Amino acid sequence: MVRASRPFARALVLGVVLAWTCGRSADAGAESEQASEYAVKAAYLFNFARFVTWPAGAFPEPATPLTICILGADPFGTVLDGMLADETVEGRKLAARRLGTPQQLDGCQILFVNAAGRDHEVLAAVAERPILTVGDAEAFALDGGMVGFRIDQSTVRLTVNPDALRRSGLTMSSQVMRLARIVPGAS
Amino acid sequence: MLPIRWKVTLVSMLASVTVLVVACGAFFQYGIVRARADLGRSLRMRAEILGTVSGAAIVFDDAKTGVEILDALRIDPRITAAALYRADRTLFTSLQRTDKDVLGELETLLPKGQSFSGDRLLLANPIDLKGDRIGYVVLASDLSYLHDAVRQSVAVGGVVLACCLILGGLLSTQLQRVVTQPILTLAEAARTIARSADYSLRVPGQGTDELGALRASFNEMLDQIAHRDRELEAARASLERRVDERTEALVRQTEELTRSNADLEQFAYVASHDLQEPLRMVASYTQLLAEQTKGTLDRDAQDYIGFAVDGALRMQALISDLLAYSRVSRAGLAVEELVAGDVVAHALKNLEVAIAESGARVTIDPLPAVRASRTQLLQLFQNLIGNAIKFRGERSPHIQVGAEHQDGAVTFSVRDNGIGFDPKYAPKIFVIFRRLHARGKYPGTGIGLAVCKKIVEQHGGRIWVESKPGVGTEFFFTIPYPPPEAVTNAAVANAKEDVHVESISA
Repeated sequence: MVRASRPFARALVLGVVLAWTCGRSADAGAESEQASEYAVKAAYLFNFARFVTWPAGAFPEPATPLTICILGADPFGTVLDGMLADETVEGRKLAARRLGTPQQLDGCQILFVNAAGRDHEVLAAVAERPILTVGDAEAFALDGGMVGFRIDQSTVRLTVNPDALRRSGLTMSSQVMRLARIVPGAS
Repeated sequence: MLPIRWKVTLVSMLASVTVLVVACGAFFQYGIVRARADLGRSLRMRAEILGTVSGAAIVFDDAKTGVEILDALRIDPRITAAALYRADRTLFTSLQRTDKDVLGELETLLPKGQSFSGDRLLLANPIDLKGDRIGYVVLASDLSYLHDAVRQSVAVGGVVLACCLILGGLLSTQLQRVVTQPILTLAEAARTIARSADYSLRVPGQGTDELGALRASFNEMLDQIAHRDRELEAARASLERRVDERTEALVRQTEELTRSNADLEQFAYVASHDLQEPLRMVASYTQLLAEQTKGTLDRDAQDYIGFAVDGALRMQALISDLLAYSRVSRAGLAVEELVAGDVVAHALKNLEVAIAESGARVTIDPLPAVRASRTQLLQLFQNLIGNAIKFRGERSPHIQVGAEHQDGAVTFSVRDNGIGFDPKYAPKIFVIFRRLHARGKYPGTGIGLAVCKKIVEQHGGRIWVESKPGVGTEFFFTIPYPPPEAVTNAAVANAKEDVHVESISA
């Protein structure tokens, strides 16, 4: 277990340290800043697997890997893949997929939406399916997405929409809820 | 040596103290062990709870939330250190008051461990989620409160123990009586009885245990002693009574005998004395008659007168001897210390005519001293030696006088080589007037040996004889030396006119 989490841990440490240093230094390079930001977000995506419970029917088979899908531009690059490589969550392997259209959602457990303006379209396609929808902005959660990343004092923070979670049959650990800003669901 | 009361008290106290201390110690030890175990368990539980709550904060890097979570421990002042670690064992957050040294110690316990070090309990617990290690929580709890409680318990326990000791001591002192009282009573009774020799006392008390049995046996023994005492007393009384009776009887007998003896002797003396007078007349007148009728009467008549004279003279001799015999006991027995040799020499002097005539040779062995009457001893030796000379055979008489000192008496012997006699007549020859030979053969009335016997018996001795016909005769007699009391008493008695018996002392 320890050995398995080392690459992840390393990534996380790197991410956090970089995040802090970036936060403190006045003139950090925007590019490096961005890169570390998405490393942290990648780690968060991975960790959602631990803190979210999918309903029984979400996985066709026990051996089916937990799939993190990216719709729209891929901001993570190889970081995410590297992170997921040797990891397991509850015995399931992890996998990453890049989608072109919302219609390719089948088999996704986590969906990262990076298509600006198309949120509603995507959310409509996903509606009430057991897929954790994560967006890159707080507005995403306000619009009906489940989780939205935001930056607060140079730290990546979460905004969570519990209604959205409920509607799709997913359960998120209260521990995460505690860390996150809760927004009411859009009707 | 400790008195038995102390011993019993100390023994029971020692037992109870030991038991108390051991029990207290055991419970105490158990208590500490349990307390520690409980503490460890409860701390681990808290660590677990903390872990489940803080997992997300660690993972999502929310240090603020992490601190908030740890801050909940603030209300427990016993938690001196608390920290969250990431899965790579780097410090995530820690409680404000945690000092770095403690953290260092705690880190040595990762990934999971517990340690009681000094005044603290250190604990490290992993945080796992869905099978994955996501971090660690470490806690340090101050044990000084526990140690204070322990110290308090010890103090209280000590006080309680002391009180119990005192109580136990008091109880023991009272309770030991149950055992020691009967023993002490028994000992006291034994002492009293031994000192006062009063065997009518008994040891009081009831009880059927071993002490009761001891007491019962003791009393039984006393019963036996008392019983025996009574029997002894009865036997002694009875014995005394019998002795008194016998003594009385003996005294009476002795009185009677002495009286009768005295009477007889008186009679013998008087008789012979009074008999002498008429007899003298008969003898002298028949003698005169014999002279006067010497040529005038015929042969037969002269013979008859001769026989009468003979008879009268003989009777005179007999009576004279009888008188002499009775005098033997009548005369006062003046006992003195004598040299027997002198007495024998005196006797020989008296017999010098007979000795010269017979050509007798008398040898005298060294003779010891004796206590006897001089006159009677003289008479005795004179009779015996005279007999020895008289009853000689063909050869000239050789007489030996000897003595032996043995068994508290002197045994004298007079041996001759005379005619001897058949030993079967030995008892007879001491009888008064008994003679073994015809009158004509050897002169004498047959009173000599009777007198000797009387003299010897008066001195408390014994006389006997050994003889072989044709070889010789040996007479033995014993004079007790020192003489028995009877001799002394008789001497005292005869010195007086009346017969008065002293009580016979032992």
